[in-house]
Amino acid sequence: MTALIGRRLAPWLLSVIVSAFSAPGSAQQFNETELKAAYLYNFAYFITWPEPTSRDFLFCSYANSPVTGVLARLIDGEKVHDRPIRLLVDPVPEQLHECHIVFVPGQQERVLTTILEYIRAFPILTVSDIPDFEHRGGMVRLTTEDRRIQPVIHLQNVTRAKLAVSSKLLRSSRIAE
Amino acid sequence: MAAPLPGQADAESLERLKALSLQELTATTVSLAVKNQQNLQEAAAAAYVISNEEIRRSGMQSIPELLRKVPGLEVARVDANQWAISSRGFNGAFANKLLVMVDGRTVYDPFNSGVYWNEQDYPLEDVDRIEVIRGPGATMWGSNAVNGVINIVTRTAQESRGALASAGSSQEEPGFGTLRYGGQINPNLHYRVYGKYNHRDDFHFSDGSKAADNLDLGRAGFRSDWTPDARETLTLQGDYFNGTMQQTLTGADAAMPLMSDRTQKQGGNLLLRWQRTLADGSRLQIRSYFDHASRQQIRLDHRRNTFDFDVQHSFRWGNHYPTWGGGYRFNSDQLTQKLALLSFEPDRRDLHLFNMFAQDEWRLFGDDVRLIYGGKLEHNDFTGFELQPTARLLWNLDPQHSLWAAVSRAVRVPSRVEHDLNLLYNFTPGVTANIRGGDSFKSETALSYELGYRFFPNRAFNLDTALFYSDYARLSTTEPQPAIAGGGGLLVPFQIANMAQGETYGWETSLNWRASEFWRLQGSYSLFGMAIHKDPQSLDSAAEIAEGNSPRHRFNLSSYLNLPYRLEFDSHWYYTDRLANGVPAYHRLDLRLGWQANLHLELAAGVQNLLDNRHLEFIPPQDNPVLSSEFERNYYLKATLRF
Repeated sequence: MTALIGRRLAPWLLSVIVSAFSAPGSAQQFNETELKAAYLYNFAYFITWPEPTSRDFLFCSYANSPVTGVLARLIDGEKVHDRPIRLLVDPVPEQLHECHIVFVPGQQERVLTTILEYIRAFPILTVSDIPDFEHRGGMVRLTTEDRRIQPVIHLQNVTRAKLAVSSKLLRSSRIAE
Repeated sequence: MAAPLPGQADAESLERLKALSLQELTATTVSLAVKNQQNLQEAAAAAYVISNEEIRRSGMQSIPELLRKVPGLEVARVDANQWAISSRGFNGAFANKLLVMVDGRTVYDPFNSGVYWNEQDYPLEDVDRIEVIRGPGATMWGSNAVNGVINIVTRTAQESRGALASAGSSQEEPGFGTLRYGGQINPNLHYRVYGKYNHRDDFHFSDGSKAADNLDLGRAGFRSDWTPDARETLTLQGDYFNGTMQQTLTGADAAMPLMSDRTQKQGGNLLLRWQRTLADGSRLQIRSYFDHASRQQIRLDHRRNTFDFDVQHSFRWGNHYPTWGGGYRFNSDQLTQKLALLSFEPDRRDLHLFNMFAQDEWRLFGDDVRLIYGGKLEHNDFTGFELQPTARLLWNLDPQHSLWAAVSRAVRVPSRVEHDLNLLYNFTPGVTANIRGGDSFKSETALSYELGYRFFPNRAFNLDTALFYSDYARLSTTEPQPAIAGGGGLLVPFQIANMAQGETYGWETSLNWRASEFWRLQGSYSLFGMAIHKDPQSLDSAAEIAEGNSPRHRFNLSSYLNLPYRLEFDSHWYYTDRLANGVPAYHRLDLRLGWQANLHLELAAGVQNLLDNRHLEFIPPQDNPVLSSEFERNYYLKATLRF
């Protein structure tokens, strides 16, 4: 009996595998990681910081998230308003104050409180994909709902840091109360 | 092959990604997830997820203990290194209606349909989450997922880079420690290696004497993830463990009431998983693993090899999101008799398990209503074909409320014990019982009805409830046969049969409230009821014993508080109602104080079971000879260093 099923199953499995390998590899879709990195990259253009303190635009991100890797490749050689973009991975607390955007991935949730504490008084945009980020003092949460990535913006936390969000970004985001 | 080089394709898609406008970004859908990776909060099932952060702040040092906070899941300590864990009733040291997996590799043992919980461990820092589905999950995960599915999901190698060292000590566990290193070979290829050691000390029996139930276990493993581009992932992972555990057994002979057993354990596994998003957006997953376990015990030596191969394909067709696939599992074991009184016939067996399944999610009314239906057809060597269908409906009433309902059928196929056991037990001098398995034993079946409701008025609060009713048929019993006189005594044969039915019902609810930026509360309550009825012809006096193994009420409340100076104060309170088989109700209070000294160093101190010297949590029924010991108050210290 089992041999009979095996004989029936084998060609079917083979056809599945063959069709998988022969499928063209030029898919137009992006995965979660890439879309999150793309949002981060866009935030550099749609947020206004009070006064440029340094010449470079500084992205800060914590590693152990694939997002950090994609972001590094996205901003490579890019500029924001004629300012070269740099990425600082795993900044120590003293370096955090120079960041324009800080991304804390869900994989680094344990240091979230520490990071927010260090940058509370500075005009730094905080972004994360931690589930209740905006309720823990964060500004922009990237959420995955129904196969789409959407930013959830806590406006009060953003304006408290003297940052301004463009209306364009607000329109494609959800506002947290 | 005229396919572009991976590097070029990558740069090209990177340019395309960079060029996406905000509007396009919002509109872009993420490639389809393979069904078993879906967001469980959107599932039409009673689902619960324990996150990495909750694991860290629980103060628990083992996977089974972590499961205590899941509503509807019964977690009881049998002794220092064994647990009785089940979902929705039928609990036991080898509870047989719960399917447990680690990264999709089943750790449910076909020998006795149970899980050897003390062999299931991992560096907890690298466990991304533990997903728990109560109720039947057989259509996706296969037979034995009758009352629930637990999947322990580890982080990808890319998510666990760097060095980690953690070590600690407590009265119960004088020494535990983990070392992990994660690195990258190139930007697409990451790996991690780990080693972990645990020593658990003896518990005490209720009379205060020391139980012989300690454990010494070391394990090591690796995981590597290769992502040549974002649409393709190849994962290779493996683990090896080796150690000893002690237990006190009640003898199979009245003349020898207690015996101490030292089990030598060893095992390992190797898993390969390939996932790819195809051009049409559909997803394909091929997974294969090999698993070996060997246990040398006083009564029996047990060696098992498992090979598994599984294919899944998910795609979109209009409003339909079907997933289909199939798999094959080969299981080979060898049992070596150590006592004259216990044997298996045959002592080696090769088992083949085939399955095919299809499930469709049909989205209606602008995705607000989802009908999920499908079935799994499985073939096993003991009972032949088994069909396990499900129909589920999810209705998102508005952004704050959702309702779901489900009807499913699941089966538990016979274990090796139920099929091949031959056990002699000396009741009294001159009277010997002979318990035998047999070919006539059929699969146990369950038909379950579930109703769920979720309420999330805002992001800071959510409530999740489920009601269920399950109807079980052909439950296992042990039937006495006419006694045979001879050899100067009386032999009473007992046949393992399917001569009972039963119903279970219950209500499970959990809530999660972020009270402020610094304070989060989590609570859960579950109510459970069960009635077992033996057939009129059944003579099994213990047929209804399962009724006594589950508490009626369970309650827990966790508080996570962030204090100034990067301090964390966490408290967890668990209440478990009495068990009808004689275990009194108990409260357990755990406290933890954590200090995130900086980004690299974390210190934690805590106490488990603060309000109680020690308490009993479970008494194994007669079919399990393990003598239970009591869980004690336990202070611990732990340091974790990351670079």
